[in-house]
Amino acid sequence: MPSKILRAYTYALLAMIYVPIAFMVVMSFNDSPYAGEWKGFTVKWYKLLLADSRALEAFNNSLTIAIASAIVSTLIALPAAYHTSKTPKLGVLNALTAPPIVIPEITEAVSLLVLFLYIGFPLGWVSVFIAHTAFNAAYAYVTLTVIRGADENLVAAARTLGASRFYIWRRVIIPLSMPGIVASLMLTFMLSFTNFIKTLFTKGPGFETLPILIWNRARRPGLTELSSQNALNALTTLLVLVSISIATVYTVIVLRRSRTSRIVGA
Amino acid sequence: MEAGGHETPERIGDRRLAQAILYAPLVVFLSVFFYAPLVWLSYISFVDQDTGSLTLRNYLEVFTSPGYLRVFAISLAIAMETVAATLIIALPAAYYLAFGARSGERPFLIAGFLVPFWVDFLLRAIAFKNLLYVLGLREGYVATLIAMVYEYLPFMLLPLYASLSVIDPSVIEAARSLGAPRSMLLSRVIIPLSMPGIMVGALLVSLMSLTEYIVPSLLGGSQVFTVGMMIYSLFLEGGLWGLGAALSIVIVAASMILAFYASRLLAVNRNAV
Repeated sequence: MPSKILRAYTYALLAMIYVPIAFMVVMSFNDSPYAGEWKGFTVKWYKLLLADSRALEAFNNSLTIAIASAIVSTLIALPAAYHTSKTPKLGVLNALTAPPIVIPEITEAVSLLVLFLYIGFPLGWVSVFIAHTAFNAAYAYVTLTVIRGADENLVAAARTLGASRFYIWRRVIIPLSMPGIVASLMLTFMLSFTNFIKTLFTKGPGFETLPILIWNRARRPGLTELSSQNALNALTTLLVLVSISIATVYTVIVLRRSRTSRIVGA
Repeated sequence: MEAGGHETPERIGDRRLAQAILYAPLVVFLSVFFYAPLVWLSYISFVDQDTGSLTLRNYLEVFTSPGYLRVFAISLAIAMETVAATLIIALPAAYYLAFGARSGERPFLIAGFLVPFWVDFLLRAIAFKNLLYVLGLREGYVATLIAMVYEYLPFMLLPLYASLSVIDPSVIEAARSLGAPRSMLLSRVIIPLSMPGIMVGALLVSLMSLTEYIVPSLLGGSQVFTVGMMIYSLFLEGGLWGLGAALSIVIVAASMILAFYASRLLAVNRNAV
């Protein structure tokens, strides 16, 4: 049986996926500005970031947009996902939320940019927030429908016992949907916080989020200490750690509590 | 279920309204901020930017001018090579996940392959750039290709696993016990049965890599110019909206067809087992 070889191969492949990330994390603690030239352990790149007003402003933009987008997209998607859980055969909403996930990001970004420019909408925080929330709403919907939420029997029982619609939402549906709501908030926060392409197109000149800052500095490496390889590695490490920790929790929740026990990757 | 079998038309109307309130926010939001911009973009793709009249010129130019065709050719070459490489690299691992892995280790492995899938392309590209730098690989076609394979591997692996995992292991047992050699098992049983996953993975990876902007602009140097970079420069540097819109609409149309095709393939596959 070649099963042992296949097993070793699979684990090697899994390791390979994480090697560049691990290498970057290590290099972000490297005293040398260049990756691969180890000069001893340091946290100076992280200290540098704390004093970097441009990075702090970008962080502020990323954080506020991500929080707002996570809350708004989850709020929009929750009633729709509950509706789907009651009428699982109606596929219209599923069909409507698939394209934002499936079509290449760049075309979605471009179409929003064109619309904003045409109606004269100012580019900046709000336009980026709208761009992020447009795809986040679809991801929130998918998350909320995949993860088991409120059982319709319990809702019917509450109704029979005379609970009002508002009371049912507040005391039955929302508490029972909590795992899905938490997963959706986390995922949409992370997707917005680390998004690059949609931000690039809808941000307008001058506005920066953390991924945009990384991009701008990566395109002109080494001009200043802040855009040196390992300063960038420190900044990117922070974003990757946010992504990986949230994605891990999200994946575990979905694998554990999936309605269909199938893997829904995208 | 709703109680009572004698509902008046008013009550049914009430319930419809209550239902509509549930899904209306999502439908309205997506219509305004996702579908309307796409419709607008497709309208622009038919407008002559100089005269303002309706025209097919943008599409004609996109499909016939040598400059665009060269960009298509390079993008297509990168996309096809990425598909081929990710397919070959991912297939053995997908096979192991579906048939070899113990039930205890499978979720761990799947989670391991799923997680990087959620890390933004830019962040993984920055991480990968370090390694190329240390290995002494210069920016260019090869560096772009290696990074693309790295980034797109999960997008090939997961559809492959999904289609392999629904194959009944007894089919493979049967072929084996009837004396099929390993090469025949692969070419006559496993690959044909996993064709839906191969198709979905290949289409997904080719379409996404065709519009890839980050990796080629970061690692391609001056050699590589892709459709994604073209869209960016048409809109944000050249101001040529009509052409950029036509190029984008071609990509959107292709991905819609893919999504439809993929969902049908997967549905057929699921019903068949």
